[in-house]
Amino acid sequence: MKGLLIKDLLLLKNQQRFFLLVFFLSAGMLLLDVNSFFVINYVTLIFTMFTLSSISYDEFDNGFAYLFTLPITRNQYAAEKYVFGFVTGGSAWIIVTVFAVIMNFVRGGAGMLELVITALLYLFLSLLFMAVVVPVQLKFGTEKGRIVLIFIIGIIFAAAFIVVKAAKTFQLDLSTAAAALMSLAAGSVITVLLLISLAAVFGSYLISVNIMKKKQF
Amino acid sequence: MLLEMENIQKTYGDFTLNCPLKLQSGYITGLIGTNGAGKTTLFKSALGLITLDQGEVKIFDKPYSQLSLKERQDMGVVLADSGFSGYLTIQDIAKIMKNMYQLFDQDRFLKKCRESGLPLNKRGKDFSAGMKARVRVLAAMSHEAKLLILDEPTAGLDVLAREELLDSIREYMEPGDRSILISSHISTDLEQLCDDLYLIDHGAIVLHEETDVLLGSYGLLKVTEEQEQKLDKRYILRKKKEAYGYRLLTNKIGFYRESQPEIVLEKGSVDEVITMMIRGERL
Repeated sequence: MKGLLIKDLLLLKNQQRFFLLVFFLSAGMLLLDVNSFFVINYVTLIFTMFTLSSISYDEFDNGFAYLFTLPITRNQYAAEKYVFGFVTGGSAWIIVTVFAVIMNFVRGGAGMLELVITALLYLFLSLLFMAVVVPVQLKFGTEKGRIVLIFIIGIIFAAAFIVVKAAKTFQLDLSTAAAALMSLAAGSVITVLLLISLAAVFGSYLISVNIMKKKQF
Repeated sequence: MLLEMENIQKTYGDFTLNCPLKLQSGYITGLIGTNGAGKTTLFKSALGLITLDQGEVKIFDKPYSQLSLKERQDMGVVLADSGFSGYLTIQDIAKIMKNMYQLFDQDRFLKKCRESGLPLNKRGKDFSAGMKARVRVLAAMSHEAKLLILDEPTAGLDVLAREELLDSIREYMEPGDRSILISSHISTDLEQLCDDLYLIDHGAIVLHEETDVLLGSYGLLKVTEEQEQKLDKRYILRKKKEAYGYRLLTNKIGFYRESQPEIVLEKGSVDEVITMMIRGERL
């Protein structure tokens, strides 16, 4: 596992310029007081996404075959992709959130709780994102994976649209439901969302292991 | 037995691999075959990269799936069509290997790379085919593996580099408890190096023989049609029609040298044996 993580970190060097650009851009946006929520969400997602690029690098030039002759198991490979996504996305999230909190504090500290809660929600969102994209990338590879992802995003939007439409048709008030949810203690909502995200990642890991076990190189 | 493939079978469309193979401790076993004969499929089966329809591969006397990661560290592999990501440098590879193999000797690996004229900080994708091949072999031999599995390690190398590589393989075998399974389409490489040879064609083994026997006892008989009719064919393996009559492959050239001194005989080379075994008519 350690060897795989080091490999992916070394491969990350290839995107050094892009990530530095993202970082400076985000720092600039936070300094100029552009929407902090957007910056946190954007940076965390971009950095979580590197786990996808690392799969593309592994796949490049038929690299998978050699990789699996090294002393690693297919389970370890799948697990490492989540750990790597968590390490890169998580580190980026911590840095950007701490920076945003400091900037908020410097500007008087209004809406600090909202900032922290939203930042946490974005972290969970990144976990969910990882849970969806990693197995897709492993199963379909870079090229087909992209098409499948667009398809999945399409389905999610369509499903959301149908839910909203259905709610209107049956005269359910979604905003009241949302308000009711928000009125619950923030702590318990966050705990529930955290558990849901972790469960999704774990379920996704099990699917990825299954995909890797069936793969032929 | 370091590696044993028993009754294995793998089918792709109309191609079926069915190659019983054994690699003994201290041996260098060669695998020869034309392109598409099934060499790479055989290597991939041995390494658990493809699932088999039937049979089992045993390495270090254990089914491949039951090998511990520690045992897998005792294997060094070169694949013909795959290696470390081309986006990594040799320095990067050294760092990764250090964290994968307990016995990886980083200084020695880097020194060997430097001696081979390989740039340590250049990405692999910018290397020539020969340079890539050298890195793969050096990496496979960098962690004291007891079993080396080398698929076409000399591909893309010029004559000098090939000789160097063959020397380093011989040097690697010196401790005595190591074994190598190696394939090449250049039969002279294997002739010099291997203790025994498997000849593979259309996924099946057509010949398995000790190299000394192959070079010493195998040979070609060039006979007229008349000579062919009278010939004792007990030790003839294949025959092929030629303008002058027949070319025959025997595995007992000594027998014919003594009993039929008038026949034109030629000592076998691996290339001739391969050609006759594949193209010749079975008797």
